[in-house]
Amino acid sequence: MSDFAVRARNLSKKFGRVEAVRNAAFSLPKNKVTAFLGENGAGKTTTLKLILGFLRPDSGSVEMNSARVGYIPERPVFFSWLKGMDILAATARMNGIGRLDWPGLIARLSDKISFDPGLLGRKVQTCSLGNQKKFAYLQNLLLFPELLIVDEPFTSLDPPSIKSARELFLELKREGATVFLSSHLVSEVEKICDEFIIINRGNIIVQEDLNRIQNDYAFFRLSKPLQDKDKFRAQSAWFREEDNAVVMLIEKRRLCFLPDYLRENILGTPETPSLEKIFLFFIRKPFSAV
Amino acid sequence: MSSRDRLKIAFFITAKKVVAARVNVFLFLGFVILLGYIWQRDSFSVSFKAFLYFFPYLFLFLSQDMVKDEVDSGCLENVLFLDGNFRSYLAAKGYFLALTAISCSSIILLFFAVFGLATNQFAAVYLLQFLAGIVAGIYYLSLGGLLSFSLKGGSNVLVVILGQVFLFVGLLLSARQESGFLDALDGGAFPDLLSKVKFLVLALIFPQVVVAERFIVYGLGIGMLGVFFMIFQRARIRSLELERK
Repeated sequence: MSDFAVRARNLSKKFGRVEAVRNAAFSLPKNKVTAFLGENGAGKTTTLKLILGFLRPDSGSVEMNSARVGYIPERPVFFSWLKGMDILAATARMNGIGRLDWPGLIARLSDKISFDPGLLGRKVQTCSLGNQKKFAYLQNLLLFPELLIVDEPFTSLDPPSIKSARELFLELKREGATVFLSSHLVSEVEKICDEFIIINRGNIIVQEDLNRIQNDYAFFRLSKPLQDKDKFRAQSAWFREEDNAVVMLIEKRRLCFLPDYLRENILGTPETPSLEKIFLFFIRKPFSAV
Repeated sequence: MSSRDRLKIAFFITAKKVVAARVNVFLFLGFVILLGYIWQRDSFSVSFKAFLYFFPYLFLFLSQDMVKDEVDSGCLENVLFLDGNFRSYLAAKGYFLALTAISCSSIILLFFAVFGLATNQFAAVYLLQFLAGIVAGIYYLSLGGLLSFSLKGGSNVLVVILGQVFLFVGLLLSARQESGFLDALDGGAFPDLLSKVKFLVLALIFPQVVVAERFIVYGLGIGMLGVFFMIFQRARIRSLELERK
C-alpha cells in the first residue's frame, strides 16, 4: 500500500504568459497534517486546483491515493438558490448516507466546527462569511474525507472557531485522515502540522518534516563574503541572503564538519527555527557565493 | 461517485434552480393565462397556434445563466464537483432543462389535445407541428447555452430576443421592397437563391418558423444545427477550467 495520499509529478500551469506553477513535485504523506506555505500569488491555490481537477495541468500528473477527498476553498461560494440542507442532501447522496441517519449526524458534525444547525434552513449565501466557511467544513465532514484539502483554513473564522478548526484537523489525523492546509497564518498551522511544503513563484522550494527541522536544525548568521558554496551545500545546509549577512539553516550535528573559515564567520548565537522563520528564510533569495 | 449519482445531483441542483427562479414560474403561468385568454376571446385553433409558436421560448428562457455565471462565481469549486465533475454537471444541466421544457409544454399540449379530440378539432399534423416546436426549442436551448459561455446572466437570452426584434422591425420597414420574399414566405416556396438565403437567416433567428405546416421539413435542418451547437457546447465544456474571475 502506498504511503502517500497524493503525489504530484512535475506539475506545470501557465495562464497566458504567467507561469503560475513550474514543475511542482511533492507528495502528501498519509495520516499527517501538511502545511502548504507561500506568499500571495506564489501558486498555492493553482496547485490545489490542479490536484483537485478544477484546472488541467499543461504538463505533469497527479496520482490520487485517497478515495474520499474533501476540499474547502478560501472563500466558499454556494449556489445562491440552495439552502444549507439542500447542499447537505446532495453531499449525503454523493456519500451514500440515508436521510434517516441525518439529524444525529449533522448535530454531531456541526458541534465539531461550532456551526449552528439552525442556519441550515437558510440559503447559505445569505449567511455571514464565517458561517459560510463553517458550513463548508460541515459539508466536507459529511464525506468523512480520507484527504481534506483546505485553502486558508482560518480565513473568516473567529478565534473560538479557529481553535475548533485546529482541533478538528488533529481529530481527523487521529482518525487516519490526511490534511493539507494552504495558509498564510503560519503561527496557526505550526501548532498542528507535521510537514511543510514551501512554494515560491510557482516553484516548490522545499518539503520537510517540521519536527525534524525544529529539533535537529538551527539558524546561524554568517558575515559576508563567503566562498565555496558548493562545498557546504553537500552538508545538509541551506543558505539565504539577508541584508549584510548570510543566514544558514544547518543540521546541528553537522556544524562540527563545517570548514574553519565558515565557523569563524558565524555571528551571534544559533536560533531555533520556528515555522514562520523557516518560511521567511526559504522565500528569500538563495545565497550565491562570490 | 457513480455517473448515476452525478446525474441525480445535477438534476437535483438544476430542479431547485428552475423552481427558485420566480421569473420562470411567472413566465410559465403568464403563458398559460395568455393562451386561456386568447382561447376565450377568439378560438381554440388561434390559441393552439399561439401555443405552438410561443412554447419554444420556454427552452430559451431556461437557458439563461447556464455556464459563465456559475463558473465565474466560484460555486462550482465545491467538493461536489471535484475531479472534473463540474463538467458532467454542466452537461447534464442542459438535458435536464430540455426535459423540463418538454414536460411543461407537453402538459399544455395535453389540455389542448383532450379538448380538441373531444370537440373534433385536433388534427394529427398538430403533433408534427409540436415536434417541430420542440426541435426549435432545443435549437434555442443549445444556442442559449453556447452564448452563455461568454454572456452572463440573462444576456444570452436578451441577445436572441433583440436579434428577433431587429429582424421583425427590419422586415416591417422593408415590407414594400421585400414583398417578393414575403409572398414566397407565405407560399412556402423560394424561387431564387437570395430568397432561400433570406429564409435561412430568418429560420436561424426565428426557428419557430419550422412550426408552420409548410416549413416543417426545414425542422430537420434546424434540428441538425441544434445538435451541432450541442456537440460544440460539449467540446467547450470538456476543455473548461475553473478560473475564478
